[in-house]
Amino acid sequence: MTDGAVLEGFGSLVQDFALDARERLDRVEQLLLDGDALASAGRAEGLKRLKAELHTVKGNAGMMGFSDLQAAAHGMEDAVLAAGEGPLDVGALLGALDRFRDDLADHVTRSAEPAATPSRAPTGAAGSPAEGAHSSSAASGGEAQGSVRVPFAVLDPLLDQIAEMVILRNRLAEAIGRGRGVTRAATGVGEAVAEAWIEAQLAHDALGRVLDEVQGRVMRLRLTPLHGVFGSLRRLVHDESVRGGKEAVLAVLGGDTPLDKALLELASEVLGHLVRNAVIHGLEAPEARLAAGKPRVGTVRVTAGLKGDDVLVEVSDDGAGIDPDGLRRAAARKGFALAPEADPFGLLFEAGFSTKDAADLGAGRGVGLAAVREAVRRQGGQVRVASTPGLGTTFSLRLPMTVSIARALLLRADGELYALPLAQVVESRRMRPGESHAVNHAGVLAAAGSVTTLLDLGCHFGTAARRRESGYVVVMEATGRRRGLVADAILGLQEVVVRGLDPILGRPAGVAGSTVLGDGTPILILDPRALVDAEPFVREAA
Amino acid sequence: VSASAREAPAFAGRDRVYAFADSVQEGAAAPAAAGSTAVWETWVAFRLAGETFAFPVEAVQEILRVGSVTRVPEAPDPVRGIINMRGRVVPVVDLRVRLGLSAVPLTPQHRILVANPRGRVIGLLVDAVDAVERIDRTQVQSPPADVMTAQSEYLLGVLQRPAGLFILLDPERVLVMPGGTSQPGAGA
Repeated sequence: MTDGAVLEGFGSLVQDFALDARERLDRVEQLLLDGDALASAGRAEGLKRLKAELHTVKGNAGMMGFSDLQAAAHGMEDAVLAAGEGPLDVGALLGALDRFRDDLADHVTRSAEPAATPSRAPTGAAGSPAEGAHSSSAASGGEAQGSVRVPFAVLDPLLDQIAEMVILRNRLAEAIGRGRGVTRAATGVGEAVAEAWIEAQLAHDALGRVLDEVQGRVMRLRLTPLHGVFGSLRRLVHDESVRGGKEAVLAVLGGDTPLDKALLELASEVLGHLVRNAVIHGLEAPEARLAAGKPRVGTVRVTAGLKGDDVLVEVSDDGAGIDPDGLRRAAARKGFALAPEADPFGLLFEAGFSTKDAADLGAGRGVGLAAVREAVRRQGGQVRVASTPGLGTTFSLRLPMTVSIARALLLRADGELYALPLAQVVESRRMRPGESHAVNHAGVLAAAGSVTTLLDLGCHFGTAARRRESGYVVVMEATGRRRGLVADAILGLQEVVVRGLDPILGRPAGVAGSTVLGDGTPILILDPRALVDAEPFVREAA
Repeated sequence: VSASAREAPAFAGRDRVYAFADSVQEGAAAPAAAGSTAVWETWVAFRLAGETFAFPVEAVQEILRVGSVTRVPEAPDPVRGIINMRGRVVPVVDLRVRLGLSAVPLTPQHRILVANPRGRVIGLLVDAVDAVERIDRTQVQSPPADVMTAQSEYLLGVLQRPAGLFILLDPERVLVMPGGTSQPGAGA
């Protein structure tokens, strides 16, 4: 647990400064990239806002004693002041912004030794999100509407602790049950004692309801608006169009669409890829656009919204589009299978399918899209593309709003790996010699005055004929009962994305689903409730 | 776990189903030697215990090399386990066992044909994949009646070719596991 002493240290001050500075720099960047803000009508106002943000950053850097940052901010402020009359060198300022961010990151790293926890949030901060996502519904313009910023570093332990509380609640339920049983059986115990137990039971039930609600609400706090992801796209469109000799604007809609924090990074990578593609491959050069009777400046449109429990994001451009017949010809040349009625655009996501040698098709689109589709599918999402030659191309990304993620202990028994959801785990430890006994062909653990029935993972799943007497035991508690699961090793704690099992696999007792580990190994997720109820006897192999 | 956690490309060397199924067009262009009524279809040929079997190409989504297969306890006999296909957990059915043949240890030639019966994704383990072949549907014969049993509805027919006999399978029926505890065939 973190404590207050650390929070007031210098590290924390640096964190606050960095958070504030990053936000201001983000706003500066948005202003610089927003052609309208610096166009003739709003120019004076735009410059004023730029100056104000940079001035504040400069002042704060001075207060922190970071003279290099102070000087850098001063330089940028000067450039903006000088632009009062002449043109503003946006490219140079963007470069200066990037250098400032790097230097700022260095300061933060240095101040974080030894590790200081970023926890105390500045009040009244609002606007576009800084690096690192956050949940905030504050209005832009600097007025916090009764909101507070909570870093995920604080939120996630909170979730863990709520999970712990759920386990404690289960233990409480069991203790209350026992207490009531003893009271009923006992003679000469007053009515008052029995009533007290009933009271305890009622309080426990109420506690359970509150706990469930809190858990649900905290889970929702992980939902983060897409604003932050969209912010970086604007810069991307600017940079890529400068590099590729294109002229492009980005139009975004639906930035308040929420997405689970676990998927935000994926969304950022995928959208970055698609937007870059749209500028490089989708949009034509200005002359070609004019010749085709289109406006000189191309538009990349990013639209997000909810569709049921899914988040749908579309990236479309008004560029040259992709010719489906050209794709079919390319497929024929490369030997890709494609049924006559199949959607030829799907080919763009195939590994190794690149239309590079077909100049009319937007060279190189196929290169990274296979990777994009794989990453999206891995999280249970979809990505599709549709195009009309001459009018443009639209990529649609569909992601689940929340992902079913469980924290699980990774266990190994007889070389097989299993994930055991943490929610029902009471304790886990090495089994000491002599602790495990056989009672009526079932293993039991006798420790600290209590006797717990054991279930050997290998015996249960048929990989071992004899129960092991050493190794690790994980005590689970479900439906008011305890049971120790015995395995060879506990490999650690991991967040796993919960997936199902195809019905063809049957319904193995004690298995809740499946997941894929970071290294690509598919493993089974155990069902603690079923394991607690499973028959514990080990019949010696005949 | 970061959303971008890199996953080992367990099936990096993924073969592609390479033939085109625009058989109508090509069929028309094919020589009419076999008779003007020839109906050309594309089938994926594979080996099981020395015999050549085939599935229609439309039934095969892709062909995978065999990476690590994780055992699933209590699964029906023909089920070999689960694999990771690009983050998706896919069950693998040992087609040998399903057809009543005995299971064999994996070799480098083994392949998994990924099928999509009714929107599901299921892998079928075969000894090796031969080729993608175009066959004339009108030349397919019914299997001899006396080799058919109640459990062999998945046999669509046989085709005699210079290279040997083709046994054509119905991928949907082959994936209907016999209900209850009864296992297909008398294998192993």
